[in-house]
Amino acid sequence: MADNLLTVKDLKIYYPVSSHELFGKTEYVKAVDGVTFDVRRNEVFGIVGESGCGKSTLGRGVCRLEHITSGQVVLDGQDITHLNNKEMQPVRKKIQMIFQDPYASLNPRMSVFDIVGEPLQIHHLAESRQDMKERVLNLLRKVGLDYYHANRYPHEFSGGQRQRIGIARALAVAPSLVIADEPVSALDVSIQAQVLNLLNQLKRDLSLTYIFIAHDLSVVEHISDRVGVMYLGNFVEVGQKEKIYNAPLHPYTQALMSAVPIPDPTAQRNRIILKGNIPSALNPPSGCKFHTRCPKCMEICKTVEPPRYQVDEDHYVYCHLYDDKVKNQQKKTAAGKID
Amino acid sequence: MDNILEIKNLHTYFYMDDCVIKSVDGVDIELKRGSTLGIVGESGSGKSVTSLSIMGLLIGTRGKVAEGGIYLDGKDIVHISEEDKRKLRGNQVSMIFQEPMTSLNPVMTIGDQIIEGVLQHEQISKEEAFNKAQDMLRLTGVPRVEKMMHEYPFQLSGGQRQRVMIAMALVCKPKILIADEPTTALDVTIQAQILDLMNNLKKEIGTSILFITHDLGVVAEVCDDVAVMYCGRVVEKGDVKSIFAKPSHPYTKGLLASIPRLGNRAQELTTIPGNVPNPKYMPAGCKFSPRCSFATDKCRQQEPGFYDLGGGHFSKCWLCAEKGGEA
Repeated sequence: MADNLLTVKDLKIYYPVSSHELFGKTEYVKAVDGVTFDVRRNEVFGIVGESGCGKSTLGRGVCRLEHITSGQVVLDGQDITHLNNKEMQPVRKKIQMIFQDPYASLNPRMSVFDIVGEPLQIHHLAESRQDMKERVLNLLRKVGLDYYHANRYPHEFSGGQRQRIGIARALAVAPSLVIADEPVSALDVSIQAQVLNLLNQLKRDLSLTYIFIAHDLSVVEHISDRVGVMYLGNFVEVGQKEKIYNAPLHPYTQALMSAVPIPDPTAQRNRIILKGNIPSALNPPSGCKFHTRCPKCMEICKTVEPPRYQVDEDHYVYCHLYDDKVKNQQKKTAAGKID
Repeated sequence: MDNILEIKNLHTYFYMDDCVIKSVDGVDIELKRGSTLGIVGESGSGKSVTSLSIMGLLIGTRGKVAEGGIYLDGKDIVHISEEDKRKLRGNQVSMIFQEPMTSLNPVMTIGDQIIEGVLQHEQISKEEAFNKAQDMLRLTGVPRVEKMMHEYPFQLSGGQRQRVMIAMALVCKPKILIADEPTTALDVTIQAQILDLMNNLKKEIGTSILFITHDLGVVAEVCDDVAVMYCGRVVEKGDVKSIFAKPSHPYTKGLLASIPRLGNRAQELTTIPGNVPNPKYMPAGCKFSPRCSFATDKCRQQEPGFYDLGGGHFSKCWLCAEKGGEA
């Protein structure tokens, strides 16, 4: 595993919430609660989960846009967990973000040229004005925009085009890791396909590595090599895309996969409908956080948080069902029933 | 009469200072009694304006139904007084809006919001209305119903708010429910719950549903018939199986090809080139021709009619004109 671009160890991001009483104890929203994963060079690591599961916070934490409570983030062999702003500056050249809302993430008072050129200016990457101009136009061409778009302002563009501008801005400093936080969820279907194809093509051409965060399982499947499924601040299952999508093991992953609408009216559906809502991250359930909604909940799940079980090469699941002891017991009871 | 709702040649225009925006420009849709019709389209295709026209909710905007009619059970509901429209809304036709976060009143309790419609339309006491509202809310499967009647929207989750919206819309047992992207703002597991609920309530109450969405997966799951809209027009309509199995309009084909599907691991997604045209500068001829790979000179000059492909499957495309079959 020498070729890990990014290693995240036991990352925790807590937000303090002041309690209602004066001098009361400060409570914490545990947005990300002990997440461990690594991202290999030139791969797309997809993070899926429902709203409030902490996937965006995790993405922002990795590029140090959130205060890290504890844990470690190592980028390209360099521990960036405790760097101060000044020390982060050179690191930001390696790690860039694409944001969800193409309507809110571009400054309406800046022209496209200034938006895409700003990172070049901040990092002193352009040697002259002429060089800067060439670089910006080159970037615009890469993302499928034209030179005459450079002097326009964001309001003159459609959603898909704006997202292209956001992508050009992220690529301006030639980063090695790009964190894309729901980059296509605000776009129409036909435009979504255009942007996904563009991201794929840029990855090949510029040998990029992506962390791709989304709630849409089919989009994540399309673009990712490995996938992590999140629930309430933790991963429940991490592994190769094929393994997770062909044979999901965690009961939450299984329910999530079965809930995706299939665009085929003749398809057979075996839907697992989960009861209830996602519990609050302020007061998460004890033991396994999913036990309140889990159709296969056991006694142990209510008290003991499941550790990481390796079930296959490059396939990990956080669920007591995959503990050897539990497995043996289940086999015994199953055998008993047959007798 | 087996069509509960008929929209005939509807034109809804917005009269701006410098131009007229033709948001809906010639739409014909029939909703069969007891069935679910899906209206699919991208943003700006006019699907929401169509539903607002049915509800008569264009007052206060610059929009107006310029031509055509909407018939509920054979009765015109466009050219009637505001008073009569109010009697229809919430009673015979009701609507679930896209954003459960913003379409509930934040300073009214859940109970009061559901009761409001009941008291408007039925001559019953407040107590009876309260019980009726409570029963309806229970049908939607929310927990702690009694307590929730006295709670405010901010105390509920997104899925619960959408259930409250559904309870509000169905409490008077309307003939038609218009659901405008009812699950777009929700997570997949919650979406599955809501779709399941709507299907059950449809059977129980016998409401016909007009389901507006951009998600073709959802359409395949809940709809009996589909109408695909583009630039204020219906470009293809038919029953859900034939639309998904034999799409005939290039736009429908492109739309179906461009969605990533679970299990399909092709490297490249098929795309529709270009963008939806600006409504101020609509192209001449077929509105899809600038993005269509089959477009001919005829397409760029003349708008195609609506051609019958048999079995209630219609397509607005020149390619279907001569053959009357798959292009």
